[in-house]
Amino acid sequence: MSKAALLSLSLTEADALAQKAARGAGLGWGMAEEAGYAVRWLSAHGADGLGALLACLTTQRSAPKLAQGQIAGQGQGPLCPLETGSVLLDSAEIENGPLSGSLLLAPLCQPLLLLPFLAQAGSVLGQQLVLSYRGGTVALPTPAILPAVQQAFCGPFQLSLAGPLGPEWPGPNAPLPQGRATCDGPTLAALDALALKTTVPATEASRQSGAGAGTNDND
Amino acid sequence: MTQPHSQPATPRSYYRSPAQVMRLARMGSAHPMRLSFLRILLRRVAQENWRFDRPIWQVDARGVGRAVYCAHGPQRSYSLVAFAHDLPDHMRSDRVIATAWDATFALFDGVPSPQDLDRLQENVPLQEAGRIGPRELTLSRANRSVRLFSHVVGALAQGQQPDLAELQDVGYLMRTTAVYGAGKFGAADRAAIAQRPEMAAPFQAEMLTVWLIRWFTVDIVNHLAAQQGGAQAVALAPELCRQLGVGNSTGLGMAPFLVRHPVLLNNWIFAREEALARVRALPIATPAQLAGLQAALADAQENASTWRSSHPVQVEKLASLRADLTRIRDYIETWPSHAPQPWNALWHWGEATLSLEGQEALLALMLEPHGDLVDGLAECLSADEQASFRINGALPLGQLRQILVQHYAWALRIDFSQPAQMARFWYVSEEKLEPRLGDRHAEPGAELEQPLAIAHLVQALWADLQAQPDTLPLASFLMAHPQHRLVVRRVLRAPSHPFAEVQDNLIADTMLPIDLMRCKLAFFGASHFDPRSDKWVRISLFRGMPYPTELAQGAPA
Repeated sequence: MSKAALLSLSLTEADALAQKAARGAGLGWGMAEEAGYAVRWLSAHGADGLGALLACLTTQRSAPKLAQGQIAGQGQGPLCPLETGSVLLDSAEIENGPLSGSLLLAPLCQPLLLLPFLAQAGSVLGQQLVLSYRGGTVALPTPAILPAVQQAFCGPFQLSLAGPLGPEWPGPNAPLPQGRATCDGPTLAALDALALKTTVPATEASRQSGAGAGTNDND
Repeated sequence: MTQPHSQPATPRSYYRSPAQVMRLARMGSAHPMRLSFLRILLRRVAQENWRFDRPIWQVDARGVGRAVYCAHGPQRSYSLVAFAHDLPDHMRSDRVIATAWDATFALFDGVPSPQDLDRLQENVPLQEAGRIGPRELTLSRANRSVRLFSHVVGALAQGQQPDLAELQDVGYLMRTTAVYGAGKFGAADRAAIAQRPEMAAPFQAEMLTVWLIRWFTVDIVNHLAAQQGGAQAVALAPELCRQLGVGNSTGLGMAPFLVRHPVLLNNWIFAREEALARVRALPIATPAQLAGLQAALADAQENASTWRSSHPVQVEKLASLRADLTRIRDYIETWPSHAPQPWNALWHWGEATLSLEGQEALLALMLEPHGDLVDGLAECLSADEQASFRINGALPLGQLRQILVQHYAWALRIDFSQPAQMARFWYVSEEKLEPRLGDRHAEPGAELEQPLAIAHLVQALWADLQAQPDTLPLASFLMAHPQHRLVVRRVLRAPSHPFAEVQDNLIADTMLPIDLMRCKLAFFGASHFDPRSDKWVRISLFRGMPYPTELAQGAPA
């Protein structure tokens, strides 16, 4: 894909599109909001959040199942990164919860999408979280560089706490970096198609009763 | 955000409760006031001595072409780029589905280069079908009021001023049918400008856009009159210009906004209520304040006298408003007496005497002479929604239940087994990609309902919580019941955001979407709220206010 073929979206647009597409793909509204957040975070950090989301939504995924020291999938397919990320973030402040020690994660679908949740969990805890994978490590909440989406960024994943965040950490409510989301045409079209599944086709009756229907604007 | 409870300066008894304030009927009676967004813009522009110019006016004899209007603040400039079109009458539609307009606009961040203008020329006239980028803050379009526009051009071309009554009857030369900002269609994200002082309050870029459009609407009639009338044509007189605002047509698309942005809604209402409480707590009314109140009342009466609507609900409300304004005038003839807290006495009298319409008008009037006390609250109006986005799943369910009992009793009381309480559903139409309201018992599509029926969602959550132990962490509950995630996020915000919820059933058969719109539009600063049905309204913005060029000459904002 050449640079010229990439479309530029505002983060607000990317977030809104992600929410609608996730809902169209069958996620609950609240989880769809998480998808919007994840895409916004990834896009702001220069990663292809929309591409990752589309790949995730079109893959069969497993819901996470918490057990001592690990998260396994229940069902077919790799772990859903949105659900896994949400469980981890929701649980961040639970005493002796999943983030209180080292955690082994089953293979994840589109692991990039997990990172925004880990970033927030790290800032809630005031701790650096390190995710180790086959090809390296990524440290959150402020990753030096995000793993490229390719073979190297895959499981098994090991998540561990790596000490308190230093004084340079701007705090949990620091704004995201300003940026744009980029997306290629086919990805955008596929996400739009999923988003369209949240809409209701018009009927003659709904056209008649719509706001402003049947009124003359030439006054 | 500062809560009323932690404001020692103003005792709690001067505050209205969310249960009183957050009802649709009252929200649907809201009036513009000092904290309305266009007033905030005008105050800043006047205080900081912004400069304005029109470096480009390339419009031909048919009124087709482009123009640039610049607003220069102390640190930055913003430019309205206007494209004027020649639109046949049969293509003119205010509906969001329209594809052609009399004029299209973008607000550019800075002063555009010729290359920027060419890029915008390719995209802005297409509106939703085009793309703008990070240098653009808003995208907008407007249609002429055909009747008034041709009357004004015709009169001016013959060297005469237009008829005042006709001008007041319509109140605008053009009306916008959408003003998109905050990242829509590729525009700059709100976060990119939110730190700038002049953009920190809500919708400042949108208000600046509309204010500059107002200037354009006068320029274009003067231009066309000069083209038609030649040497005998005259320009529209300044005192007549003043009578003109910018119209706006708004449909259902705006109604869900306040429901989708609970933190923002809370902050708007909180700031207004804080302002009212501060005024009510004052020990005296000075002669200057009394004069300010009388002047504001005179303006309100003038405004009410030129306010037209044929919608039955609004006709009744207008009658109440006019009668109430007269009552207020009579009452303040002998006010303030020597009673302590005269403003509070005035308020209590109003609550006991006036309709909702009159009470909310009184609120706006009471804030008017107290800029020193009120205007600083403009800084509390915006919201960092991300800051309260995370769900703290460590919360035990017992505490979640407590929050529901304390903040959502109004929702738990609604009897959704009654068909009338379930009558509507909000959805997004495939054809227009716009919010719509359907009849649940007669139309298809309810399975695609948007999550706007908050009370109903709260009851579903409440029901599923019943079998759960108090000590179970919320995170475990949400793993098993992911469908409640959206409403749980809202509920968790309630204790720190008491004004976040509209405390009414948004899918009841009696619900009027125009009530939601009126509340939002009043915060914008809209006057002359004129519902054309239960689902769309026309309003006027900036009517009676100065123009950029007048403000630079020292006219009061």
